[in-house]
Amino acid sequence: MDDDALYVARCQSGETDAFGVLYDAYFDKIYRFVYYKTFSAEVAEDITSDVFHKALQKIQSFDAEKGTFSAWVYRIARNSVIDYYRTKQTVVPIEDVFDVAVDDRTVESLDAHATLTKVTEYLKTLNAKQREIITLRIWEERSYKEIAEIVGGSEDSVKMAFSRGIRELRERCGPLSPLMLFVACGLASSVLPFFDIS
Amino acid sequence: MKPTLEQLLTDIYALDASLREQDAEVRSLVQNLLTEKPVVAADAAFRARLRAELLAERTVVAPKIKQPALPWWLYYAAPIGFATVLILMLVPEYTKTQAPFVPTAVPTTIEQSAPEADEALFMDVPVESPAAKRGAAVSTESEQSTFGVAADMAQSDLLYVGTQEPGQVVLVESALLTAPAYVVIQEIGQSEAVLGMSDIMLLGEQLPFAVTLQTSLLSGSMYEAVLYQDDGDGLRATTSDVVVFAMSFSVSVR
Repeated sequence: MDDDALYVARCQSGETDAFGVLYDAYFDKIYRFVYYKTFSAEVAEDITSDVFHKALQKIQSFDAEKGTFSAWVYRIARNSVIDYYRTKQTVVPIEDVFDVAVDDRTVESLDAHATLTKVTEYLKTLNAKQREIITLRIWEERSYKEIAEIVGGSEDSVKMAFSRGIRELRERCGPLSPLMLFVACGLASSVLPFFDIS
Repeated sequence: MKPTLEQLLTDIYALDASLREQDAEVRSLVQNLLTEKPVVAADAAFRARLRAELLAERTVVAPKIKQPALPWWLYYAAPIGFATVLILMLVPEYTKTQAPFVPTAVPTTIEQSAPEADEALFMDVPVESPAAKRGAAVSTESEQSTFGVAADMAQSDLLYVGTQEPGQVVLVESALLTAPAYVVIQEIGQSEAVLGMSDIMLLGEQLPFAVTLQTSLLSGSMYEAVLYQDDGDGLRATTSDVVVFAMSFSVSVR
């Protein structure tokens, strides 16, 4: 039994303090995961709060034999984001909230804005599932097995989607692609402030 | 464990070896993705506030009560068992309602409140009859039975004697016994004389049988057929045996 399962078991037997340990271990990860999908600190806070409240309420239903606590709490987060956009009645497919998030985002700083622009330009070229898998693998450092548990599907299908996503990114963002030129200019402008013509 | 650039590339090439041919581009792409990962940090105050909120919800988390695991076949056996019990409960009720009509004795109280002579054939055990006098032992079900609830008597002792012709024989058309018993034919009236009695019969439904009398039945008179349950001594003793059923019958010339 891993540490998570141990603390979940203690929590299920009535030791609410054990949930504090799980919270400390997963707060940053869940917050980031939600933030990457919403690009708004305010919304990310609301959804993160919702995720942990749900996790605490449903902790009794968690079954360690069916998967890890990590995958379970990420799934709650994923569903909460979908619910958030469903209540906003967006016209885009609920699974594909990335574009809406970019348009609606509240940017905290100019630096963050620049970084987000570059990142989102990269990732916008992918479909929603590929984008989610790549961010979970590269940014969130989740294993393929965990990603499969979070997004649904087999480990092999996750690996396949990841590989295709990388291939598509390489094809669209090759050395001479307009996107790469755009990214390169962005990087240069941040290094050389005197290029700022404003 | 945090995957390094090299680990990620190894992963990617293992999944799609053809990408290795564009190693420089893929390496640059993955490197960019890694370095441009947005730096996201939640507000510390929010983090602490949420933690306190969650830990305050102690009452929400109740100890998990683990249900004992049942064998898989029990999930199938339970409905079958339930259905069987239901059938066993309903079938006797159905057969009772389908049972043929069997006239039975009518309680004394009804006799008193319904004095019509036409019904006298089926009204029996008069207040002052010998059976009533020995009534402490008379079947309660018999006493309380009516025509409408004859079916309820199916599980108790029954006797049916139709209208008889004058003579020294009484034909008992049916008898249902729950224990060894015998039939006594006697006059209704002051004498209450015993005119004859059958042999002791074993329990169960009896075929029609005749009881031979010492004295002839007279037309226009009323008589009584009384079913006595043997007390186990094998002797027909009306003083010690128990009356379980009684019905009156008339005699007429056909």
